Amino acid sequence: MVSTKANKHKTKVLRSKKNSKKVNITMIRRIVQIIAFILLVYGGFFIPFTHVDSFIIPFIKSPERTSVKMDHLNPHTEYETVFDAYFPSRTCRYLGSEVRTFRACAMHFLTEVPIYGIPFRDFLPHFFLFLILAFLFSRVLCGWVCPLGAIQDFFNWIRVKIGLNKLKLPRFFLNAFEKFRYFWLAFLFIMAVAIVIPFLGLIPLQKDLNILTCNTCPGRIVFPLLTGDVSGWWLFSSPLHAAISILGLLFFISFLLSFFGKRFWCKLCPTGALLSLFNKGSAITKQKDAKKCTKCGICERVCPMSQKKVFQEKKKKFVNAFNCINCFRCIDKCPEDDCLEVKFFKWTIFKSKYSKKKNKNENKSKNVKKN
Amino acid sequence: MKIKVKMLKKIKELLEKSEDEELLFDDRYSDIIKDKIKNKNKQFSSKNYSKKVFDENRIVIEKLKKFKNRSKKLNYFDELHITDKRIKELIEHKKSGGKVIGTFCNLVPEELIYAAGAVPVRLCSGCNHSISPAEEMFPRDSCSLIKSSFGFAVTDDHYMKLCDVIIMPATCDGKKKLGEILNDYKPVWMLDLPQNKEREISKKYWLSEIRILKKRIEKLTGNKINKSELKNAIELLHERYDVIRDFQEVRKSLSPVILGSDFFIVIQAAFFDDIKRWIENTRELIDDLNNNIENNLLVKDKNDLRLLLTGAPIILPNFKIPEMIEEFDAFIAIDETCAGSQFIYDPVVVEEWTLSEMLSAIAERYLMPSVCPCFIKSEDRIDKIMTLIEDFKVDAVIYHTLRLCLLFDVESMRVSSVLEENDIPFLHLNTDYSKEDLGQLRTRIEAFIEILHSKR
Repeated sequence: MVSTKANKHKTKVLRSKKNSKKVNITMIRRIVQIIAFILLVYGGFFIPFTHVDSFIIPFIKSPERTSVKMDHLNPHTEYETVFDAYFPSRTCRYLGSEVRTFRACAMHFLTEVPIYGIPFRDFLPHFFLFLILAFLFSRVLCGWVCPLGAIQDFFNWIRVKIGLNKLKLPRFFLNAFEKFRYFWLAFLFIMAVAIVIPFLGLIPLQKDLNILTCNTCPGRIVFPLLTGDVSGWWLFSSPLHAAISILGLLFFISFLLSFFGKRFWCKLCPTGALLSLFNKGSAITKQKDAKKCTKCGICERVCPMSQKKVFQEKKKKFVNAFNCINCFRCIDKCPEDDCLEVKFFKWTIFKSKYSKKKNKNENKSKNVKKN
Repeated sequence: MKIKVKMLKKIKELLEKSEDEELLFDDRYSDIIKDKIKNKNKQFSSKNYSKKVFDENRIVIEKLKKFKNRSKKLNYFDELHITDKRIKELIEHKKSGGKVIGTFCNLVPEELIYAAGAVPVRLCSGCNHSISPAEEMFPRDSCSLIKSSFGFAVTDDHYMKLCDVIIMPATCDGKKKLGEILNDYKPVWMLDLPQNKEREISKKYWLSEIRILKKRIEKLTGNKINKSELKNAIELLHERYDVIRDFQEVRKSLSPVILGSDFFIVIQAAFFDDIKRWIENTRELIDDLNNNIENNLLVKDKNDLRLLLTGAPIILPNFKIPEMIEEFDAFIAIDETCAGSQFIYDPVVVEEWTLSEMLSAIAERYLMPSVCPCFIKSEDRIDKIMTLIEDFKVDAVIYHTLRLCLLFDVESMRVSSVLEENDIPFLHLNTDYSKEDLGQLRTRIEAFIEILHSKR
């Protein structure tokens, strides 16, 4: 009798060990998001660094700021206390300069090149940094690092806690958004170049059309709220500026709408559009064993970007979608063992596993026995 | 003020009543038919068919008990099938005002039934004795599962007697028409199943069907299905999925400690048993089986063939085929049948615990991963069989079909050609519940197993 009891304990211990093997990807992601949020937004508080030359190739000088003409929006911007690097996710220039870690986001950098006339040798290292990060992580930066994304997730979390229903967007809108963001991205780049070309006659409007990306980004309104440096808020000095700010406000509303539907702004974000070009060829791949898939549709229902790719794919192994933000929620929730997995080059990082309701219920059953 | 409140309530009721809930036409002939049926049924009312089922079950289970090292924890499940213990419990449950709801197939969302405080009982039957009374009313040329289940309605016996309502998903042609005829004996709620899983519309349609079912259950039991109750029901059933997944892990091990037929007995006890008690007993059984693996107390030899049984459901007491297989040097390592491991497998995964989200999660779980051949495409089923072969290290596949069941029979062609491509031996058996063809089946199975053993 005693031996069987001991065995029972053994098996129970074994079972609990099996349970603990399951990694909750979403938990890890939340922790990473919070750390990244603090680092990108308030990093300057913790890391007291003075001017650091170019991030990747330290011996190259940072671009000289004498050529900066039009940076009137944020007069406090000083380039002494930040990493001289542009991060391909939102590390906004509207954050207080003594607080943030990086200078600005890569989207800002890419569109400011023509107007500031940044020399080629200074442009290249930053551009390579962007390419390398985009190739290695693609939109993992959106799902795991971007502070705007983290705020949207926080909004959504509040809604779930209250118990409100989510807003389901019709397919039509999703498809429209998907096309719109590429038009928008192209328009931003074209405008960035067009203001410098003399015969287009846009040079007198340079002051208004400068850094269109940043002026329409919801980050211009959100980030100053976080650090208290509100000097970038007021943008109604000319009719063109007013129009731009109204457009920005529309985007800001879409950002607030993420309270009702997950990651609403991410479906429109131009930086996301730029990064999602790298999504299919990046080092991080999502793979699916189509044979093991039961077509239960959980991956589609759980997806914050309401992507169908993972659910629909039945032949190919790779299921990286253009619009996927790589939050790996589908892998977290997939009930089939080893059906979905995430790989970084050759190494598997996460695998799908059936999740159990475990400990709670075992305690319950014990209580029943006692009664 | 009172009038205002009443008005508001009425408006609310009107708003809640959606158009799809209403029936367009009333039944016209059902009264005439019911009268006729009452006269016809008089001849069967005296015989006790429930006892005959228990007798049949006893014969099967006593044969299984002869296997050495059979886990003693199985006695609980044996007893459920042999005695009328559970029937008495259900009668008491009904006396105290509870409701019993009969279901068919594995496509009925049991979460809703548990959330409303009712008890589901799955009525699919494998009894051979109840076929002859059914054939008085039902065409002889239909599959034995349907005739056998219908027999209990004719004789008004066994679990069918206790049901207040029967929920019937319109899967195959037999079940569709069975629902219509059963409606003259008991109230039947048909669940209209979309035929094509691939379309977005069928998901919406099925969800609306589930919504209507929810309202009907609420009306029957008088209990509103709230958020918290539905959540509790989902979590309770999730526990059952956990247990079965643990069970399958045990069956995956290369040392056979449980027979395929014993697994059927366990899972078919879940058709009608009290769910919490069933979960507890199954947990104990799994612990016992784990002990057996450690102590090397095996039911079958390690070199015996591991077979996969697929096709039409095998329900106690119709254990012809698993019994015969396990007489020889082979055993059923895993099955892919709707009354076997497919009955409890896919979990309901809810992202947000709001009522509409939970309902859509439940609806999707019962529609999308189903591998029933009544859907238009059979590819999901082939995928399922192939993964099971890989996971359970299966040597050969036995494809069982019931005579006159067209759906499984047709699909066998596609399944067999894929299996051939992968060099997996395949045996197609076509039988029914009667015991006429026992000899022929035995020789076929014996030859199949011997050939496989000699090839090794």
